[in-house]
Amino acid sequence: MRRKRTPWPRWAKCLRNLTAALLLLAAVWEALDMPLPAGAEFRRLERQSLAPPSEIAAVIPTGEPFSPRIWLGFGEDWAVAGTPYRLSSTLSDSRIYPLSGGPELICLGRGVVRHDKTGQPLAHAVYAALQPPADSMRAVLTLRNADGDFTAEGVREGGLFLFRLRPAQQAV
Amino acid sequence: MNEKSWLDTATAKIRFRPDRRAVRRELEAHLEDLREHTGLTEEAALEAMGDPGRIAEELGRIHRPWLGYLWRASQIALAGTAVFCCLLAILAEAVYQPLGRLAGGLESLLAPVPFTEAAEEQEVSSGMAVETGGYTIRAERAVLRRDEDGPWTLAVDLRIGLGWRREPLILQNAWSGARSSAGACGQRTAAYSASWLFWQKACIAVEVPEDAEWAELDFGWGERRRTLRIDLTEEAET
Repeated sequence: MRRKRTPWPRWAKCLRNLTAALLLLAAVWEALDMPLPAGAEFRRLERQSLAPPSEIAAVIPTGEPFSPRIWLGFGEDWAVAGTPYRLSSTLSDSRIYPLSGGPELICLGRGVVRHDKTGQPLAHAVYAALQPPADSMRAVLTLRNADGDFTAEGVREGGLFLFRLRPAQQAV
Repeated sequence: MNEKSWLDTATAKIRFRPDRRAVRRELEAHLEDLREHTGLTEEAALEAMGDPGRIAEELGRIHRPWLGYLWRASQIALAGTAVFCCLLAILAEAVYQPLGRLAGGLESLLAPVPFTEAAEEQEVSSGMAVETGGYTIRAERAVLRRDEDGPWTLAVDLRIGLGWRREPLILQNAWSGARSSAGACGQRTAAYSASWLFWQKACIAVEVPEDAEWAELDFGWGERRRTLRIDLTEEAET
């Protein structure tokens, strides 16, 4: 004869249901490539690059919906630029730049989108002048290549200057 | 007082409705049993059951509503999560193909590293490991290779333990330097990488001077920097 199973107490049912819900959510988070909030994702990119947490020097809006900001941080002798992607850690992007101690010009791997007066989105390359001389008031960057002249006035962001560049004739 | 109003009064203080219904059914069954076995009238049976007001007080004390609400909330949470997960799973499978990646990742991890043939090859000692940032980086195989008249390249198969976080290394960033006993190394390439659950396999290659006796590969930055030294003069045991 089969013995009738004792029903679970209600607290145990609650615990079972909540645990099952959490496990399901964890499985979906894993399936969605374990996305994290942007700040935490930037720290994850640093961990994956074997870099200790850096000091955030600038957060640059990109104008893109899924990777809205480029984070730029300084370590002892390196700088790290990371672009957390909203829905996937695999699509997040990061790059480490060794620093020599003096001023450095780096090109961030990703560009940004800015709108002109008519609302037209225009892609800009982003450069950063790291560790500029302490007393520098302004910085101007001019690049020349086959696509034309690129000129931009640097915008001071803490310990660096940021440049957003378009060919001179199209600059905003 | 008739049976209905007696039952209503006796269960009035149980605030969680499903409990109230269950207790009411139980009391009804008791009443029926009582009447069947003793032959009492409805009124006498209700009298024998006791004062419904006192029973209501007692039942209200025993049946705490928050546990019932919590149970119901946990049921709704589970059902909602299940539906949400089904929808997201469809989206995830369409966009990220997690199942395909899981299978593909394992396949890549088990498959040999896809090297092209080189004119000269010499396997050198390996098996060294470094630990940093929660990762274990082990040189599983190191091969010195050279195409005709080209530079010597040290190609190293790495087996990386990812730790509990299971976050694959970004080798282009994590591999921070290389040098040899004969001076600076040439071009560096992190050529191949596959990860699966707690492991990652990668192949890195660096040009080394011809007369180098050892090569040192740096991984990490700042306090996390560790060095893997590979002896280029000692042939690997077969």
